[in-house]
Amino acid sequence: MNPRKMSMWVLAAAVTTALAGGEALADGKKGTAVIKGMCKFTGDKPKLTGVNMSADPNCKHDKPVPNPELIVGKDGELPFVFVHIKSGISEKYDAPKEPAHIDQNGCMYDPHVFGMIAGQALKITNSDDTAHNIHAAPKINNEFNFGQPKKGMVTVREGKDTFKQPEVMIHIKCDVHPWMSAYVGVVTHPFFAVSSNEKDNRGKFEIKELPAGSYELEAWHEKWGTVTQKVEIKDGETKEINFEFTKPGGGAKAAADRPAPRTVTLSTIGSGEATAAPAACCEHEPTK
Amino acid sequence: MPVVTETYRNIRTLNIIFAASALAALASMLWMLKDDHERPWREHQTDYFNVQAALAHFERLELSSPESQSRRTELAAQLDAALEKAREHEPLEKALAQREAKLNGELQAAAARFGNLNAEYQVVIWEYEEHKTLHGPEHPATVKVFERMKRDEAKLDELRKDKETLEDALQDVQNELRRLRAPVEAARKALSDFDKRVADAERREQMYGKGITRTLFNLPGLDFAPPKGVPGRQEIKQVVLPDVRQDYSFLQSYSIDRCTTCHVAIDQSGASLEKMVAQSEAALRAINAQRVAAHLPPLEVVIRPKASSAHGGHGQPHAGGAATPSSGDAYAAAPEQRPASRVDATHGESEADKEIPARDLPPFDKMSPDLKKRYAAALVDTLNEHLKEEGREPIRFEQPLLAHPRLDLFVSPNSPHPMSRMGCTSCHEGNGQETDFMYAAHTPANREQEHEWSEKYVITTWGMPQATFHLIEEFWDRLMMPPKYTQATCAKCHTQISDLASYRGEGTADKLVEGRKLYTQLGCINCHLVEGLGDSRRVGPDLTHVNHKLDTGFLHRWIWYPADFRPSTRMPHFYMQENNLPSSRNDHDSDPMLRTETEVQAMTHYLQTFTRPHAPEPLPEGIEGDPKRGAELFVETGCLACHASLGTVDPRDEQGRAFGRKWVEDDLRHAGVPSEEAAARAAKMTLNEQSLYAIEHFTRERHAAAMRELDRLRSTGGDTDSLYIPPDFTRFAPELSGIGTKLAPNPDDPVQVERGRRWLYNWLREPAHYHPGTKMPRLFGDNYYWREPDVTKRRALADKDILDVTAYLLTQRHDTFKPEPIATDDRHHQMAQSLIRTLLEGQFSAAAADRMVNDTKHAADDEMGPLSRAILKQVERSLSRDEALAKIQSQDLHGKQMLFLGAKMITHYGCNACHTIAGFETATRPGTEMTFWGEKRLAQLDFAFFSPGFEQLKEQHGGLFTHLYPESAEYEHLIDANGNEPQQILYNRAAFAYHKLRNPRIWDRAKIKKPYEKLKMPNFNLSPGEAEALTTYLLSRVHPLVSSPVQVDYAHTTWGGIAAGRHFVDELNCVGCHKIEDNEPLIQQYFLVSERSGGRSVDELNAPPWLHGQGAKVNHNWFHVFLRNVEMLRPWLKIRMPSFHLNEREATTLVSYFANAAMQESSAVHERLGAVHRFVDAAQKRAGMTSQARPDADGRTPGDDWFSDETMAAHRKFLEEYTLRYRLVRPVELDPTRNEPANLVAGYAKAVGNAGFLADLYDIEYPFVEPPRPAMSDERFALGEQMLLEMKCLACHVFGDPYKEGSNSRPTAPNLNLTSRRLQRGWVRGWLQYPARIQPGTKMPQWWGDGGSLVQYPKELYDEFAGKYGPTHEAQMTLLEDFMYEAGLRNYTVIDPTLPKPSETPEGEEIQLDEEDEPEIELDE
Repeated sequence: MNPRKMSMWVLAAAVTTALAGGEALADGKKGTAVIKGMCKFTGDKPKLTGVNMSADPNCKHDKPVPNPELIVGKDGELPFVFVHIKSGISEKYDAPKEPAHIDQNGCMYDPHVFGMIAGQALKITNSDDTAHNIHAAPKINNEFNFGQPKKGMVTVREGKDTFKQPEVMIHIKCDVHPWMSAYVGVVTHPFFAVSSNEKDNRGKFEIKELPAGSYELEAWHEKWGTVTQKVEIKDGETKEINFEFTKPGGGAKAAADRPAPRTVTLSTIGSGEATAAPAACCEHEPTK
Repeated sequence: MPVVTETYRNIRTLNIIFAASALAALASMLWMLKDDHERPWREHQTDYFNVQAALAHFERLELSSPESQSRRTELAAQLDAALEKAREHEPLEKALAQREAKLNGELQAAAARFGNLNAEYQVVIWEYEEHKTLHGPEHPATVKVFERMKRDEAKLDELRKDKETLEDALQDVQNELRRLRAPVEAARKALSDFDKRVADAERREQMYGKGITRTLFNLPGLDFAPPKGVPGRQEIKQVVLPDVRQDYSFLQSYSIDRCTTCHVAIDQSGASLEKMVAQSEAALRAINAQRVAAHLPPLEVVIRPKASSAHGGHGQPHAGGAATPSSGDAYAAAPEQRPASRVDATHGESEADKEIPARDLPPFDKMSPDLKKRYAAALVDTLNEHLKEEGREPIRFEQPLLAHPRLDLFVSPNSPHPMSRMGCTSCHEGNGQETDFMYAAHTPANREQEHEWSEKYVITTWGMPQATFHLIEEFWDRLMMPPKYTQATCAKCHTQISDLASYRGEGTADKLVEGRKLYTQLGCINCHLVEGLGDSRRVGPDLTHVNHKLDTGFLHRWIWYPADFRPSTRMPHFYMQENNLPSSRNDHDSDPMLRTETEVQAMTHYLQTFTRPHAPEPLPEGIEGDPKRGAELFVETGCLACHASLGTVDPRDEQGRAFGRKWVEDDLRHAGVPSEEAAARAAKMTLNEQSLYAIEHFTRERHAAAMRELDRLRSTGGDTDSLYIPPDFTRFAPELSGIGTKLAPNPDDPVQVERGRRWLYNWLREPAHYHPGTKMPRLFGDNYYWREPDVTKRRALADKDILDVTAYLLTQRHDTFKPEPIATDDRHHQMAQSLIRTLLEGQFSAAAADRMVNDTKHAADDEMGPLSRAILKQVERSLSRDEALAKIQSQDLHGKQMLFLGAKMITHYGCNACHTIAGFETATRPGTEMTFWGEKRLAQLDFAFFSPGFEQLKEQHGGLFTHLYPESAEYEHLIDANGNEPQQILYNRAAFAYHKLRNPRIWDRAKIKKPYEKLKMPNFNLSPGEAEALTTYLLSRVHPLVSSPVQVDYAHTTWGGIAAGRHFVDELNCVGCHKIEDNEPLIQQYFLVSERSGGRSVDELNAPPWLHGQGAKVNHNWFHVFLRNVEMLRPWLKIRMPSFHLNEREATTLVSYFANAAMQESSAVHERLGAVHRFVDAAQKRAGMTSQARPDADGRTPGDDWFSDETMAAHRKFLEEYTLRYRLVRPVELDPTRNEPANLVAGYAKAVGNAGFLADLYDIEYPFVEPPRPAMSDERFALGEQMLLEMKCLACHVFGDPYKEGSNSRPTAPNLNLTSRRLQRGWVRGWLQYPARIQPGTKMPQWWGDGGSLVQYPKELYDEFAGKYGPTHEAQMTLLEDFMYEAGLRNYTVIDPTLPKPSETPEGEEIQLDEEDEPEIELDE
């Protein structure tokens, strides 16, 4: 073995041990407070369409499958909203021993939106009689992309191979079936919830065992963006917090906090006697 | 008795004379010593000593501060603790030491035993050989010796094992001992380091500080005594540079640079402003702690308003100067702010006038360059108060006492340009041997600085001025390069220039590279030859059949003032310039407007008369263009990579705005204009106004600066959401918002519309047909419709695309522009005649000229008149004589006059240099050669009335020369935004070129010239940045005067291929679509995915492929063919790869470029990795580890924290940038604030490992040779197929014939039978292992390699897989590769029988849910 390869090996060995050694955090305190509430969509409901799975008959369903990002209940109840505490928690929480789970079933991900604690393992199963690949495309964490070509395959990715850093949200997709998409919110604590898509509980979420404190809550929806609220809660208290989403409008952020407007002068092009001069735009400020 | 000799000498007198002359000699010697002692460089060195002493003092202050003292106490305590701990395992240590001694003894004995036997064994071998030779192998003696030999061998083996066991045991004991002793040693070292720092600071303070040592060292007349280089001794420092020459009229000699005599600290990394400020801040804290303890008020740093903090320091070369807004500086300083824009003008100034207390300041590294300087000055002022109280000399932090700002690149011995080799004047020019500011020929950056210097530095002898700036500028050859243009000198060694390119424009000679690029792209080369720049195409379109494309009206208006139709055009302006506007009227040129109108008419007449036959293809029948689909195609297929189009609606914009409107609106809003107002303003602008706005604001530099900022934010985890990235308004190819108006001025005229359609159809189908030299590639090839097997139908589909785009383009109009012909009247006729007379003047007598003008035949039987003959002579070389004659004879006299005048004007203005024009194919370049322009003497440059001294005269004598700055509205477009900064004309080459480029007619101002003596160089409306870049390029045109060892070797290195290739990919605009090196493809701004979080990201899967490492990926033969005949590789992309018209050599240039770029990248990364590995190995060796040693219990090995070592900083920076750029690691993994040390080590180990993976992958050979293919049995072939099918590769890929029943009809990945032809096998192996390392974000799942699919297979499944296809990963990959290569050769098609056949629902259509059923359908599961 040549020396270069050798020191490579030593470095690589350092990686494995270092990664294996990093899981001894103290588990943070849990409390007794509860935040629960409802996510709603206001405004014109989007037209609900089904997912076109015609490309792969193995994905065939008897009834059309609605596109999850467009689902809005009768009174605007909005499922698949990831609600979590964005700031206000400083303690560290261990990732649970049991892995989070995502299944590929009927060429859809189940669950469509879910949460994990940074460093938690992830179990991925394929219940379909077709090949899937699982492609996580995080921005902060490391990307992974591997195949599960057979029905019934189970892969458990250890915490060191999943998401070690908090990141809201990470997109998970299948490149064979481009309509398949799931989102996972990775946070550092267990205080998150996803609004339900069950018929009777649609839009509802509940975060339990919360210690008393003042927090910033963030609710995220894949199509309608994020909404944040501040909340202060005492031990044993149950607070009702509702989130309202609307169609994002107007594009870029308003320029309210920018400096006062200044005059813009454009360069002009010449106007000789014989040419039609393009008029100078806007206010014209003579320059010396 | 002495003989009395009579002499004429009188001893007495002589004594007096001798005494007097001795006194005089002594006096002059003393004077000499005094003069020598007062030379200005000594002052700088004294200043430097003072700074050094002060810094040492500061360090000592800091080290004596309570924190430092407590740190020392802590270190001492740590040592005690370590010693205490060591005492605990003292018995163990003793035992180990005994054991070590014992083992050592045993080992020596064992080694001796082994050695002895070995010697004996060698003898036995010899004996055996001897016996065997003498008696034969069967002889008993031989057999006996043989047996003995075998016995010895066995014994020897035993002894060796004994010895090795002992060695290992000893190693273990030694390692253990080292481990036991390590804490004590580390603690001892930490403490002694601290004490050494204190002692060192004291020593430096004493050596450098004012005091007896320093005085002694520098005693006048005795200063030769102390040895050279002693700290505190003033001395002249010089470097002799054998490779850099100076031209002393006919004799070239070595350069000798003494610049470091004054710029003492230029090579000291400690003398950078950053470090000095950091040290001073620490000192200030220490001082204030002391002051507070002594009940004194603490010192506070306050930045005073600008006016009062002006420092007289001379050499601040990077100060720029407020009056010339150098765009580059502005970008570098604050990328989020627009450069050179009047929108921000007020914003920038207000900051400078305020008094800012230090507590309100951002951290030093976040300050703008200007603020940094002001802050440093304020800090020094504060510290000087303290120094004054202490009785020390005051200090300052400015040149010449600072380090070079780029020590990583220049000066320092480890940099690529060490001072001992390159010196100073090879880059900065000037007079290196001089030690005086004036004689060294420093060049001011701007007029303010010139004023300041000319007052400050004047050399006088006996009161007479000997050298002033004026004299030096005028009469000296070797002026220093103005700081703005220093890059020009890079070209002396980097003669090809392109190898200095970095698309992001960082750390390289971006201005020079840009200048070189502009020189060819704008067509400067078409008029002004530069030897060695390679062949150059004509940049303008072919005009030999312009009548098929344009109307007279359009041509008139276009030539007259192109910007009127298209402000962004690269066509330069000949008319409406200051020397042909009405105010330029003079005795010889009575009506410039009438004259120029006539000229335009004449040229147009010529262009339309003398056209060559052209046979455009007829429009295909039965296909109607659909403008709506055309609009989609226009955006999707990639036209926008080269053409901006402000009128095109952005398909991704929710409000349906056109690009121009959207860009302007967003930009205004980000400049602080309220949303509604911004929208209203943008909506009110015409397309031309938007275009003007875009030219000024949406420059590539600004875009690139914002992208750099984005990168920075990403790597530091900053807020990318609120970062505004302005668009990049390309002027590479014409902006297309008015193309409909151009081709069909009157949309209601069916003839015009039909001509426009036909021309566009032909142009899009095959651009080279109309213009053989065009860069426009063929985009709408039939090959896009590869799914259609029928060739005729394929063509019809392509035709449909073309006609759709044609229909769309014709709707792009700008109807405020009226392309009407210039009305002709008698005055024009007379003007034409008088112009012809002017032209003939001097060559012809008045009578002959008359005959010429009237085309009067000389003799009655002449075939034609002289005018006709002259015209015929011009055109007969490109048209047939009969055809030409017929065209001439069909003209009336005025027509002929106009043809003659037109031809003369085309020659005069040099239209033929950029355009192909019938009759002018072989004409020579109209402009002067520029090959050695940078050496031109100042006396050869005509500054006209702007010659030296005029500014002062103007100041002294009020009205004098004021007419050089006319305040006429007529001039506004020339002088203001597009013209010159009038007060900034310096008397040097750079200023001449810069002002000429900004306003080419400026040196005609106030001159009285005849029409055709006037300056005629056209105005390109260059921005200040562009003019600077071109000036830099022109200044680089000199004889290099460096010897070949320091020049870059292009012939035998990868750089040759890279330099040629970079130039070529720029010219073809490959970089507009593809990311090749570190460029940001322009097209990506149209592929943005709006993200809900995480800022900007590009739709990578649908954008054109990333060509990073392409040279190591594809088979070079295939690549060569592909470039010339593009085939469909990625059918799922909507954007199309066009076919360029490349010849063999050009294709080779590209192939070689990609290969060399990969090789270069590989070697650059290997070099850095090598340094890391050497560091790690050395650390392990120091720790006594053999390379077999394992990480200790904490998972650490010595040297794994190489990245925290100071000496590795440059390597670390490189590897960080490299791995982050190619997403081999995530920013968070290298972030020390967010990682435990062990994790950080892991992050860097990953960076090193992954960078090594790519570096190995790109380590290829050029030309590439395909390794021989192993033969494959049919069984193995079948096994390979089975494996491919089992892995479900065909869910995304096709393999073989795509038309065959059962093939994947909607592939989302390339056809695998391309593998054998297209890909290098080494790359395929890498791809199977780690696809995402090669192409981050790829759809390809990872199969082998750590964390790949197969590694994660459940055990029984994997065992089954391995049982079938091979026990190891290597074997499995080899099987798959062999199969792919073999199947490609056999042209075999693989069909996956399990592959689902898509149902009938057409692609892309969503199933609509029945709205009434909705609740039940979706919501119940």
